[in-house]
Amino acid sequence: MFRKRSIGVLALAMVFGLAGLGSTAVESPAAWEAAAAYLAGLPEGFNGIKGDVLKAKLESGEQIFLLDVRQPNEFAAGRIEGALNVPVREVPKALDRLPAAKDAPIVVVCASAVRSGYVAMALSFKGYSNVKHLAAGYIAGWEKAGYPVVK
Amino acid sequence: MKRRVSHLILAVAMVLAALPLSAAAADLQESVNAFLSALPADFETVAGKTMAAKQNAGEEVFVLDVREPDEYKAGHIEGAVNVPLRVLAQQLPNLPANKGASIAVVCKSGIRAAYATMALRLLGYTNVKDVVGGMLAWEKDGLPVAK
Repeated sequence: MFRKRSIGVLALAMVFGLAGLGSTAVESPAAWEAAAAYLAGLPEGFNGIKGDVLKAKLESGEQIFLLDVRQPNEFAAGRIEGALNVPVREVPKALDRLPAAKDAPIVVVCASAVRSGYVAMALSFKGYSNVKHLAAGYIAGWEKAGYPVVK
Repeated sequence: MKRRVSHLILAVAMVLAALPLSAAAADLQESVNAFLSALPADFETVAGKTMAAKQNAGEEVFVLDVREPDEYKAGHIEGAVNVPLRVLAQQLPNLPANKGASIAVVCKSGIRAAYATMALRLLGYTNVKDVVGGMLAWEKDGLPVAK
């Protein structure tokens, strides 16, 4: 009885494990078209904002919505004050936590500016028009530069 | 009478035009949401060292350099194909025909490669990785640079 159950659990785990191996198919002509348009229209700097520029804007009191898309353990280890943590995979389910105004300035932060690039592009597809990402990411672009962090 | 018919035609045309649009929009969001929520543990990144080791072991990797031509000329990964990010959509014939081909995208610091990685996944490529840290990390790691 127990053995049967454990074999069942093992089989299930293997199926899920296999499903997790390859990347999930996400192909869509409409999405590719939107992506192609996004790429073609990228401005100088590719929607990055350098750490020193972001720091100056925050210090001058500019309202910027900081969206940190790292995992909770990375976020807990150090972050920019006031940032909201929504891990990249949970962004689609957390859109109601983002600013209601589609032109609100948003800066997306991750560790090395890969995840934040994905999210910046995804948010533009959702109608946000003023989304940048922290250039070089939190580690090289902020923490190593010696800018203030909270833990 | 004629005007009425033309109004009717116009109305039908507007409805027809709106139909595929809304279907496409849902498709776009579904696809982008699926990309984000199903990101693997490596977030579709590969360390330069790991990529170089794979190539040395004889694994075929299509290296796509999405920097501008002048950046590419100043130093690139041997065998990399240069397609600047903004013109990627116009140069698809330069990419592998096989959507399952192993592609590593590289830029200066990783951000342009992130955009390209996501775009290529949405286009249907299933095995695309962002060389994390870009050429800056590649050179810092002392990996070979061709000129």
